[in-house]
Amino acid sequence: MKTVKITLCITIICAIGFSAFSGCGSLPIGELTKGAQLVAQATHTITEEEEYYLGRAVAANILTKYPLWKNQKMTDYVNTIGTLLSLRSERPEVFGGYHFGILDTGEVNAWSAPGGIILLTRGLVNLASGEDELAAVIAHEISHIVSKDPLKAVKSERLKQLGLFAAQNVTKGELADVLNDSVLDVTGTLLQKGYSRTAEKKADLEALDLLDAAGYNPNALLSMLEKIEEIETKKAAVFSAHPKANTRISYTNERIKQMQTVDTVKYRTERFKKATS
Amino acid sequence: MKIKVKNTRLVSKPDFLSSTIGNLKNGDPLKIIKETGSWLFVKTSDNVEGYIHKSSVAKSNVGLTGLIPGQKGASKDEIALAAKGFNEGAEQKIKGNKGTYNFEDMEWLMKRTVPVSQIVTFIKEGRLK
Repeated sequence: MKTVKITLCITIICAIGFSAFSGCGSLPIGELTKGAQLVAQATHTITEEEEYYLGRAVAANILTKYPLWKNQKMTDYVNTIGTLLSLRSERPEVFGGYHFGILDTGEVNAWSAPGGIILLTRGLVNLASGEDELAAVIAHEISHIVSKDPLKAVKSERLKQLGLFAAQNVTKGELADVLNDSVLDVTGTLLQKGYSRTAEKKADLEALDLLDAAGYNPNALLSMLEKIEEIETKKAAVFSAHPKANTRISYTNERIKQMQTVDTVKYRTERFKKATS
Repeated sequence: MKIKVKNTRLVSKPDFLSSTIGNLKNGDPLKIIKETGSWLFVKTSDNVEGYIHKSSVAKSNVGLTGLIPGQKGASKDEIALAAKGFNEGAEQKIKGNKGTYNFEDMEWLMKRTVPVSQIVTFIKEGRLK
C-alpha cells in the first residue's frame, strides 16, 4: 500500500495550563509568613497534580454532553495505540497517566482534557480506515497535552485567585468554585472557541514526528485531513473548532515531503479490522 | 529529587519497555547518579538503582523551589500552601453537581490501563518501534 490514510487531528483539549499571571502586589495578604507572601506575589503555575484534577473534571463535564461508548475491545485498542504514542512523546509521564476513551456520537471530533485524558468520537473512529489514521488523530491530541494547550485556556483571573488562595485560609467551597470556573474555561475552548491556528499547526507538525517515532506512517495524518476536507465541503459539522482542513493539508504535505518514511501498514491491517468489527 | 507523578516504574534500561525493577509513587525521594539523555540513573531510599524518565521527577515535591530567595527545596509553608490548589477535596465538592459532571463514566475510563507486556507485543506484531 503506497499511501496510508490517516487522519487527522483532533483535538481538544487538555490541560490547563497556566501561563501565568504575574503579580498580586496589592492583594490583601494579611498576616502571612514571609514564604506565604512570596508565594502570593509570584506567578501561579499549575502543578502536575492540579492539572490532573482539572483534567478529570473537564472530562467529567464533557461526558455530560456526550455519552461514553463503553466498548471494552475498542477502548482497549485505542488505549494501546495511545499509550505507545505517549511513550514516544516529549511528555511520556503525566501525573495520572494517559487515558483514551470513545464518545458515542456520530460527530467527527476529538478533545484532550488537561493531564492526559483524550476523548475521540465514534464518528471520528469510523472515519479512520486503518490503525495509522487512528494513531494520527491521537498523536495530534497528545501533542496538545505535551504543549499544555488546554491549560492555557484557563483565564488569568482564576490563576490570580489560586495564587491568592495559596496565601490564605480558604474553604473547599471557594476552591471548588475556582475549579468549576476553570473547567468551563477549558471546555469552552475545546468545544467552541478552539485553539489558535499556531497551536493547531504545531500540534499537527509534532504529530507527524510522533507518528514517525512510533513507526507509524505520517501520511496517515494527511489522508485523515483529506477526509475531513471532504466532509467540510459538504458543510457538515466536523472539527468545528479547528482551522480549515485545506490549510492543514498544505503545511502537513510540505513537512511529509521532508521525511523518510517506511510503510509497514500492512502488518496492522488485520488487527484494525478485528478491533473495529 | 522526588517523584511528581502518581505512580511510575523504575526500569532496568533507559527505555519504558525494559524490565521493571520497582514501583515508585508520588513524593518518593531519589538520588541522581547520572543523566542519560531524557533519562536519569537513580538510587531510591531503599538503595535500589535503576532508570527513570525525567518527566516523572521534580526538584521538590510541590514545584515551588526557588520562590523563597536563598532557600533550596520547598519549605513546610510552601508545601502547605500548594495543597490549596486543585485537589481531591475540591473534586469531592463539585461531584455533587450531577448535571455538570459525570464522574462515574470518567472513572470507568480511568481504569483502562495497558500493561507494558501488551505494548511490547503490540509493537512487535505491528512492526512499530
